[in-house]
Amino acid sequence: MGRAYEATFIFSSALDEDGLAREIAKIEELIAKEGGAIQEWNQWGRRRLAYEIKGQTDGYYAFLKYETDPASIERLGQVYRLNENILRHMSINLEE
Amino acid sequence: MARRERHGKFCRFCQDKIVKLDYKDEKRLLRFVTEHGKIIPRRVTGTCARHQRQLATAIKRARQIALMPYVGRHHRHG
Repeated sequence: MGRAYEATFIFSSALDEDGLAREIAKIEELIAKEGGAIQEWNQWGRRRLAYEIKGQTDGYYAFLKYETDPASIERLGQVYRLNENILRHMSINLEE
Repeated sequence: MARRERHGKFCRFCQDKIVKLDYKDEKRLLRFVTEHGKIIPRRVTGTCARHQRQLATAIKRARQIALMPYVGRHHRHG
């Protein structure tokens, strides 16, 4: 049983419906592989960004509450960084 | 510039509702930044030190995920 975290993702607006679903599934699989437990997705959908990211003015927002061990946060972050479709990601420790 | 004085005597968070300050709640956070996007100092908003710290952290996080701007007006989006 790891620590509780909340991850924030902004997906590229270029993604279509199933492209998004694939990205979400990829993340879930990644977390599962790290032995984490997914609790709840909170998807806001497409929204206008307060400032441009990678040339885009809109993004698809998704928040994920999950549990995992602290070490895997770093590993997950590296994978997110490689993923073109993720414009921005942020992991927050919920047990502050 | 004449900015509407907002300094009530009391901290808005301690007083009326015990709410966990959330970086996703940008509607509430927007009330604590100037129209240039800067965080309004405690002495103006009357927020207590503890909540001002939480507020600043939440605002910085909201900026990081583009819910709030670093500078400039926040455009009303649909």
